[in-house]
Amino acid sequence: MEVDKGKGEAEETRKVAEADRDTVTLKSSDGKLFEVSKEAAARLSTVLAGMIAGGSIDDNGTDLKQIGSEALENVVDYCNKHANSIPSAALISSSISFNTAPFKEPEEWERKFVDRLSHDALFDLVEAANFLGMERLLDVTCHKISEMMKGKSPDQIREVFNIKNDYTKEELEEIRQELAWAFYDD
Amino acid sequence: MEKEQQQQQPGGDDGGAAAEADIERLPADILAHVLSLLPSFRDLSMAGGVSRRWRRAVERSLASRRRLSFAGQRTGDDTAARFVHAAVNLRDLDISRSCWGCIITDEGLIKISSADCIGKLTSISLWGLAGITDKGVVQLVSRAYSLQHLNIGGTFITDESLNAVANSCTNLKSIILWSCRHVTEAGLVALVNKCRRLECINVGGMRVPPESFVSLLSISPALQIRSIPQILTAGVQVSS
Repeated sequence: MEVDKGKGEAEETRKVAEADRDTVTLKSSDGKLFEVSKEAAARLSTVLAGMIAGGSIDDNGTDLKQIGSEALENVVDYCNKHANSIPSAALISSSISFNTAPFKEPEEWERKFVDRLSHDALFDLVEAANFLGMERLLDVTCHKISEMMKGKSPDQIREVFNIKNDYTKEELEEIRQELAWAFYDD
Repeated sequence: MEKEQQQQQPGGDDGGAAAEADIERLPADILAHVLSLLPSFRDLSMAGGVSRRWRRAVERSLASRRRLSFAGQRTGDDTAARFVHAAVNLRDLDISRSCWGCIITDEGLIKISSADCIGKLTSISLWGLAGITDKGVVQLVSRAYSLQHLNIGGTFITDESLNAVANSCTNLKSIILWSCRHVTEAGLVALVNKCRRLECINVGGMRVPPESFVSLLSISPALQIRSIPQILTAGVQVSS
């Protein structure tokens, strides 16, 4: 590590690591570096926890080639906010693993955190959370997407998400009949 | 952020606005996960109408469910049946009457009865489905071999349904027959005779003479016979 330091001119902004530093440095697909609390990263991401435990964290920036800088910034932001604001035990036990446990509603700050994102940024963050094995962040982001579908007809959902209908005319008619019950107003 | 990466344009024939945020790039299991977070079946049904891929995702999200409840939700026969068919790991099915009135009929029960999960269900509630008769109930319970708890209160079933329960559901532990006015003592006796694991039976509001409960107890002395309506969970108020 000490040897590499001289070469890393381009990364001069980054602090030199002490042996027992309490952050890890992550590198996005487009080469940007982000610092994140080691404790939060290990607690919130199974993938990062594995990398930290396995010693495959690179002090010059662990390469996360699948994640762009905007998404990684959000991941790091989420981890740091999480580290600061939440009593961890409650949240960890609440994270759902695909329907085995009930989903715990997002906290106020989590709601705000995803509400400010554009669709594109939100989907990027879902993919990043999925890639990093961040169950809670995946739930919170997926929950946000599910909220965008609530109370909408298939047409409206297609419009919101810009989805192409690939049903035939006949199938659409069938679906319309099948869903007739759902279209009555209360 | 600068838009460096050129998103591959799906289809690409609608030249106008460049590729918007594209939910379709999310993997199928993630889309299914999103859908599993929808709280209402109405929303889930609507999502299934979006595209073929979405319909598969709806089915996938259902496949992981253990419990399905239509209580308080409007549902049609076809939609309910399709959900139950997709929920291959289901254990607990609640299609009790919703506050919107009953839309499930015998036809729905018959369609539901052919679902893979029926033989593994341990709990079924048909509470208050005024539109169902023996025809649908017999079909359904005849395949529900693993059933332990059945709530069939507030329906118009007769002894015919109870006989079917007695013959097929030998693991039955509890049954709610609240206000089943067409069930007679003979039906109850058949049930208690065949279902030797029956622990609890709710007979509130039935038209069976109290003496007949004595004969039930002579068959199964430990049987708890209750008459207090245990239907508060169904959201129905009963003044006693």
